[in-house]
Amino acid sequence: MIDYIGEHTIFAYLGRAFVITAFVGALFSVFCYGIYTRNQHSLWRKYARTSFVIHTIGVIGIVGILFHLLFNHYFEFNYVWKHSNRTMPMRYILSCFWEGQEGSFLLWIVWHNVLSWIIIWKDKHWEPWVMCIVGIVQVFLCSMLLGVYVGDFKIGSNPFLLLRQLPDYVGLPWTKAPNYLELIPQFKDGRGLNPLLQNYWMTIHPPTLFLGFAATLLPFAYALAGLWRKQLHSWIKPALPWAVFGIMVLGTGILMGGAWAYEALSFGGFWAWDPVENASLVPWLILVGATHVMLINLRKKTSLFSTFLLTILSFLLILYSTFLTRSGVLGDTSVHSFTGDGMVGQLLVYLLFFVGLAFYLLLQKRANRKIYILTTLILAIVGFSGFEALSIGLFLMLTLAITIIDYQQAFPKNEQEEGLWTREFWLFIGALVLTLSAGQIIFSTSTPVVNKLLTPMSALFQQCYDWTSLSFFQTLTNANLAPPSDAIAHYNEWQVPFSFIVCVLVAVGQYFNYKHTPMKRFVRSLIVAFSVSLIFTFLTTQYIGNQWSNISIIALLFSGYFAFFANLHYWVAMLKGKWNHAGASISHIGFALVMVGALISTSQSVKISKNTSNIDVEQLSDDFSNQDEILLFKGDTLNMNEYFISYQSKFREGVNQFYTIEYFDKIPNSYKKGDVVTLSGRPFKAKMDHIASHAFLDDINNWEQLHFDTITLQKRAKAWTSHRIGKKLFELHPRIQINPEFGNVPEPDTKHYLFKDVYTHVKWAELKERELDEDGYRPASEHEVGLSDTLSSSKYLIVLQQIRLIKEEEKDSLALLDNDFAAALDLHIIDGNDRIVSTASPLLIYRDSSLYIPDQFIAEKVGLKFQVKALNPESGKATLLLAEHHSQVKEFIVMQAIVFPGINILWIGCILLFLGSLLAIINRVKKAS
Amino acid sequence: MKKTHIIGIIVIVIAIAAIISSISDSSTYANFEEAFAHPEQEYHVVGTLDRTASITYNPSVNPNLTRFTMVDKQGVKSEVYLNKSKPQDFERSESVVIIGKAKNDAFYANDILMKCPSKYDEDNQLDTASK
Repeated sequence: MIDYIGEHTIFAYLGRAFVITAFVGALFSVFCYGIYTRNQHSLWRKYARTSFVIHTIGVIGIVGILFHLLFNHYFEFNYVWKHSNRTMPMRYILSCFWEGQEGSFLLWIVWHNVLSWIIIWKDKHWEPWVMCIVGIVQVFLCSMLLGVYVGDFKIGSNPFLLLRQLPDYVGLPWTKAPNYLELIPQFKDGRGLNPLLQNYWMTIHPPTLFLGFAATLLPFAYALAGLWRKQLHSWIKPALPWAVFGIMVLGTGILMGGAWAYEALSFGGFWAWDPVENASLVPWLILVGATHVMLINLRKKTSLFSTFLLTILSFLLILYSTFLTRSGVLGDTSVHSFTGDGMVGQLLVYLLFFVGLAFYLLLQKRANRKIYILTTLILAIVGFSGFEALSIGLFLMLTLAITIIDYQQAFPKNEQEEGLWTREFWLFIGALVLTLSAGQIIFSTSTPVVNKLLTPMSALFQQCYDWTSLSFFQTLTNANLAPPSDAIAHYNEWQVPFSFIVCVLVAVGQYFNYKHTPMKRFVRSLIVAFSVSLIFTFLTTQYIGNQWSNISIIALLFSGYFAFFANLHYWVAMLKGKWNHAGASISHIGFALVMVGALISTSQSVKISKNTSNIDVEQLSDDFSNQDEILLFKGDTLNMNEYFISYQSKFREGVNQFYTIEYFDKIPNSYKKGDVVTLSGRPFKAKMDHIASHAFLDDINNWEQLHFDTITLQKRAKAWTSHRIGKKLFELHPRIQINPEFGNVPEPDTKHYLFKDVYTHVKWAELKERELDEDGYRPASEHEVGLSDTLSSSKYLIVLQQIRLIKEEEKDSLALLDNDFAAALDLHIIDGNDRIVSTASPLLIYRDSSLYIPDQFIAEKVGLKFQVKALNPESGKATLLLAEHHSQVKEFIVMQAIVFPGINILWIGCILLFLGSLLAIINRVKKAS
Repeated sequence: MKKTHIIGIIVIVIAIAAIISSISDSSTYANFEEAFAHPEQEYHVVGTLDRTASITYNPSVNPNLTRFTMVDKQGVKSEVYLNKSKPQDFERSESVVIIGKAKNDAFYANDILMKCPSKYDEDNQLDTASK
């Protein structure tokens, strides 16, 4: 044993001990609850609860020690060293806690614990069965922290590992030095938190999201408990408040993620259909569907199978999304780019275990269960012997097939056909549309997984291709699908129609009665909301944004308004504005506002920054666009859409480099009769007083062209402009966080108005001072130029006029030797007003026709330095080095600006969605007790 | 026919349509050889940045254009025109995915995804210290 100096080894042991305590406690509680469900001896319930207490103590111990290590900066611990450092403000220590894989699993475990205790405290009737399922999940999650090897298979990753214990370092000499903490300077400080995550969103978004994840476990556990006890209906009532709670918290978590992306990340919007975002949206959609079919079940015993299926799926999809985002399988498809820490196998086994468990319990016929379990075992053996993809594919198909067969054979069904004009029917349709929508998203998100599953079947698809020669089968055979290049277009194509149907159903849903709806009253009560929505749709398309060309987007906007007004009307007129039953109406109003706000802000957002400088990238490729980023020199003021913007200064605060961008009002110029202006060098005289339009051509009738010879006038005249700079409206401070460890990260800044946001984002800025040579010139850039080609420097355009050989008689004056071969490049240097401000004639010299003599030509007036490196007689092109004097190069930034109209509607919608769900939970809980 | 059957059929039709559309909308991973063999078709190309060649980003010429050379997994090099500003810490990237089409001698990318070693391959960091 080596006695390491300064190492807090005790916590490594203690932490490990708590992990094992938590794991074993969970395992025991499952075991004891399991026995209790069979014999109903209260002693076993007591054992089970005691075990769960032990489990909770273990979890509290793990959390406490991890915080202790982080707060005290014990950098000998891998987790502390990787995720924190000394310079970090204390509030980010929380973020460090859940930044890593282990910490986020721990967070999840903690929430499960909290929710479990509520169950144990409140629902004695279902506790044993539900807690048994919850316990199994806890066993699996705790094993993610174990960090033990079974053969070559690593189970979990221990958060209390010392750096010297990492497999990569074990056995290295320094790990055996007792004073290694002093020897190696790196241990003085940790690596710190990824700058993207040093953000207050990182302190609130993950806990909310994980609470949402945790909340989906309870409806799942209740559903399985119901199947297990063969009480196919009575589980729904206690599960329903949890489902609504899940909708509320998970929804909030997802939208917080969106808000984070919008406020602090550089997505340029709050939703980008990124796989990681999709992975949490899909379970939410399914959970919403599940909750609505649960509602049907409370009234009528129909849609029972869908209730089970959707409830089960919502949790399985949470596991699936964990698998997608943490296993590294998404790899090249997501900007979030997680890599797996060797957890792929483990996560996959867990996922498949719960798929198996849930569908096993869903089977009603004993024989089917036997077949299922036997076949699954065989497939598991096949899988572990190296045919993973094949066996997983077969397992999923088996699960699907046997579920359908068993449903046909044995699942209790309601033979009575539902009426068309009933609430239960349309609730069911709504849940179905949500499921389809979720299915489309998850399928498109899963392309990397689909590829893996397709690979073993490629021979089959090759056959199909040979028969049909459909390129579709060829694609399947290759199994190298990449995500859609235009993800937003792809998802919108499907999600816009789905959302339209959902919104319409949200609007009309509550007006349907259970069992039977009198149609006359139905139509009469909806007609007001319908008309008002039409008017609002019309007004919106007229006055907000201007790109309302897509009919499906307008239809969706209408349906959003319809959902809003119909529910508002329902609450005010039917419920008389009472809070008791308002949960559904208010959360639907919130949902409608989220849809309307998202729709307006994304479809009408305008990138107002547009490049106006030299090269037109649209010439290079059809898919390229100039309309993205704008170049802004320090001190310059530019005309950008409805503003003038100017970048005047920057300042540094800690790790942040801020840029001050000022926005000015734009005032149309007014011209008086007799005013003379120039346009492209031509003089014009105003015929009457007028206010300038955006384009000169629109005003052409107000001007008369003067002759060129009126030079004096022309000199006096200013160039025509449509607008002048008005008063300063606001200033924004987008920034770049300087982080040598992780790379620099830009963060946008946004001006919030009531009806629109102006988002401003520095995409590129020169952060390093460039090296200068002894004369103050910056490093040269190399260019290939032919005759009449144009180069650009920061200020000037440089045109190659001619390439000429130096004649014998000139050589003396140029200090050349007689047998030198020399050629000169005659260059014109032209300023922004097309004037030649200077000329340059750099020389290419070969001494004795072979030895290259570097010769520099300095055009001091314009601060440019030239050197000819080579001449290619075949192509007639010269290789020219061009260097600029530092005084000539103005500092600049490249920025992007986007206007998002109506985004506040979205945020208000989020709040209402939250409040409405909360009301619904309160109401359900009241009813239950 | 019962309502449930009609609904069932509609659902199945939509589901199949969604799957087919997802597959046909999806782009394909490829190397440069394939991409240049099929210009005008959109591909994802995975590779690394060629650090020996220069990265040209001249915002004063056009802030929306970056030029660089990439090596795909087969070791084939190609010049890439990227319709984006130069990504932060581009030089440090470990692997890059470019999305776009090949045309003439170059690849024209609309989008780029990149991974930086320091962010993700976290264990490498201490190696230098220990040796």
